[in-house]
Amino acid sequence: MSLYNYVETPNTNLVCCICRAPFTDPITTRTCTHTFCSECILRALTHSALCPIDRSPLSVNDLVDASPIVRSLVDELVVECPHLSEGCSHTSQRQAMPLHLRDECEYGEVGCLVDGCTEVMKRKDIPAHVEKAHADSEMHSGEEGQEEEGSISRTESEEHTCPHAGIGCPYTGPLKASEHLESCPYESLKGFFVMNTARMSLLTEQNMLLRHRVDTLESTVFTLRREMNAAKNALGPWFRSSYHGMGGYSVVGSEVAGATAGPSESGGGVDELSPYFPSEEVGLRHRASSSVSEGMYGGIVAPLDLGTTLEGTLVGLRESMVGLAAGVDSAGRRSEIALANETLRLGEEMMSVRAQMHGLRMQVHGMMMDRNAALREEGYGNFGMAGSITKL
Amino acid sequence: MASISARRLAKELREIQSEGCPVGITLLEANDFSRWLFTIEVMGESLYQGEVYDLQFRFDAQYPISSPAVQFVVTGGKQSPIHPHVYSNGHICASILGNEWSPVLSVIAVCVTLQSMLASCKVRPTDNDRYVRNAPENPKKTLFHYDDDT
Repeated sequence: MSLYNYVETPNTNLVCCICRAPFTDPITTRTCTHTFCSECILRALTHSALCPIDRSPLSVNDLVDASPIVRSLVDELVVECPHLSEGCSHTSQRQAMPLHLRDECEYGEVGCLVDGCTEVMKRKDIPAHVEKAHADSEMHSGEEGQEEEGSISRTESEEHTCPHAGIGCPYTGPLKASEHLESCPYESLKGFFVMNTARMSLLTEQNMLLRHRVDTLESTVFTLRREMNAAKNALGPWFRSSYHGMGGYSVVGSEVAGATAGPSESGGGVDELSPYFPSEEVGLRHRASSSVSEGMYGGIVAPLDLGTTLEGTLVGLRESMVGLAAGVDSAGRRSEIALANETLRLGEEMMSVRAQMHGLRMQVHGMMMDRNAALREEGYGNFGMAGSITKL
Repeated sequence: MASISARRLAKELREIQSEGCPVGITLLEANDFSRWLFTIEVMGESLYQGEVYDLQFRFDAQYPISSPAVQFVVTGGKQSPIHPHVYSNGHICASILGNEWSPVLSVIAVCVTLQSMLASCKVRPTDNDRYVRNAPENPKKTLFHYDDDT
């Protein structure tokens, strides 16, 4: 939450209902579009995973930065300098206040400008401090605050440590702080460390926000990956990653280098499924090319219409399947009818042949009867015989 | 940062002082940001007509993220109101003081809620004696079971 006092009563729409102060680093919920300070809502969520306003379920992943308009509105609110009670009556936009505290405010805490001094004090006290403390480097007076006193007690002890021990100076020894500081490498970097600390805290803050966003993104990626896998499973062999296609293209392309029609259809060698998935180029070539190419690649390219979607192809396949079944069915029926017809015809022919046979037998029988009669007549007299022959 | 709860309470206090409390509620004592005292009285036609109760708020450093500990004062001759959700030791069984607390609520909002809650029948809770015997000092430590909306 903001620690500033606002010059005017802020618009209630810009007030976080958790800390009752204008938003600091406003965050909006994605589910119910309520806005809070980022710190307030994050703390509230650790206590209970509900939106404080409407008690709907809420998680850290549902938080997004508030719109830039809201951010600007609260950043531009005029605030008083936190050192008002001490005498600084400066007011500025909230976003400019940290700069005022760092560079201008007489009551802001800054490091002593004199080399060899690490005291932090109010800016207005610096001249007095310099006069008192550095007129005689041995003589530190204790009037400049508790930190000063702390360092004095250190300088008076037997083993002296460097005032920069906090930022890494390992020195301990008999030299007094002021003597050591003349040679201390950390002394010259003092200003840098102050700046660095400020930057560091800024970065930590940004880092936290970014981590938060990364978390959100990671969860989104996870969801997407899961959906992707589901889609991949549903597609089965029809799934073809562009990476795979490219690889097959280039590898085989180099193998068949020189052949004019080489690279496009040569994907067939990569795996057994690949003829089902020729690259776009192949499809186009086939449609455009003449019967020559069809003759050449007829064995390789799947007998599928790759111009449509998977669903369309499946529907097409199912239709042709139904057509084939019907065709087989009717063919069977037709051949059955033909067979029956043939049998009937053969039967009739047989009957007619049998009738003819009967006729012939009757004729032969008649002839035999005549002959027998003639022979019998011959037995009685030869005349009769001659007569019968002429009869025949 | 203890100052978050302190700043929030300071704001609420400033609001109370500038705009005053709702009818029937008066601020009795707010010397620090850990314990406030209010008097509460049910206005208009009600069973509690003319009865004034003392209400005590205790805040921890987590306020307003965590709820304040609210109870009626039952010492110094004071009594808690006779109500199904109020025990004779002053503890109050109200969901907004427990699992339904929201940081959006404020001291005054709690007062008004309790004021409207009091407008109900005059019967002690059935398990009063058992609860009072075993109750912890801080009502927030009790796990109430909130079973109706009155």
